[in-house]
Amino acid sequence: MPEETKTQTAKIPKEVKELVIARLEVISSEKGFSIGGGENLTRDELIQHVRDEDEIGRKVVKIELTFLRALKDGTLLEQVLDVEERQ
Amino acid sequence: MGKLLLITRPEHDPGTRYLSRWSEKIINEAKNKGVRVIDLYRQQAERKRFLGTLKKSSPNLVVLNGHGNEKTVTGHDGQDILTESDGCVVSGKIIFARACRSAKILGPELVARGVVVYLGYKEDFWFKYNIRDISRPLEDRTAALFLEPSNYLVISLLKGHSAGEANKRSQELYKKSIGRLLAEGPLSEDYDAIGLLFWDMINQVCLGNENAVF
Repeated sequence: MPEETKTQTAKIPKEVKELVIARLEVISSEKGFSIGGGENLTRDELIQHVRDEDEIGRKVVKIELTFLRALKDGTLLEQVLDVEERQ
Repeated sequence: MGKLLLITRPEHDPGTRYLSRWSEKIINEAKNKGVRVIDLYRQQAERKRFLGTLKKSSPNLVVLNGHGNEKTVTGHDGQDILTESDGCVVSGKIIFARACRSAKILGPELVARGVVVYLGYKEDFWFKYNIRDISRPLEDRTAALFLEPSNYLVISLLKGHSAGEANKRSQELYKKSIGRLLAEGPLSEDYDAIGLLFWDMINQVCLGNENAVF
């Protein structure tokens, strides 16, 4: 099975799922999300997708983990500070 | 002849409505700079008219708003508007596709077939908006965090910057949005948008000749 397909079907670890849902739950219910692929979703719909571990839910998890890794390894702050120092 | 911009603005759901309305800023900037604009709005943003306009008017810069996937960008009502088979029609152009994932396969394919530069997103392009502002997208300060940086890619091209520089300047605006939210801290109503902004920024790419100018 190709690596990408394995990632798409592998179960999301429980602790990761809980972490992502906890982060989504603090978002205001007055906010919506548009995905260029055609979906327009509310916070609660995003949470449900993560609970269901479907395609959108997996995308949300991937985005959150990409962000948290960049925060942890300092990439994000390094890039932001680099711009601010040049201005 | 002068410079010519072709822009598509489908409007059939909240997402495309936001992209369409925010593209008015691009159109205004182009007109202020003396660039002629062909605006394929709503039902006009469909494949036959799009390809016909490309052949007839030969614009130097093409901006597509819509949904997308690895192999296509869509127009009004989600119909395909640009596909891998259109290489000969878009050859020699600078293209920016504000749509999901089209820079993954479609972009490289079109560059291989003669597109000068393809600017777009390797993964899904996300943005967050205020549901209460859905009828007035230009007043939505949450959506602005995302759409001002992506708009700036085209505005930078209109200012004469190279494609690579325009992409870099746009990414710097994303970083500024992120920096502002980090400074405001977790109590900011859009603090959670940082992850999405970072995602859009790292997936916005410039394929082809980065030195090309409009």
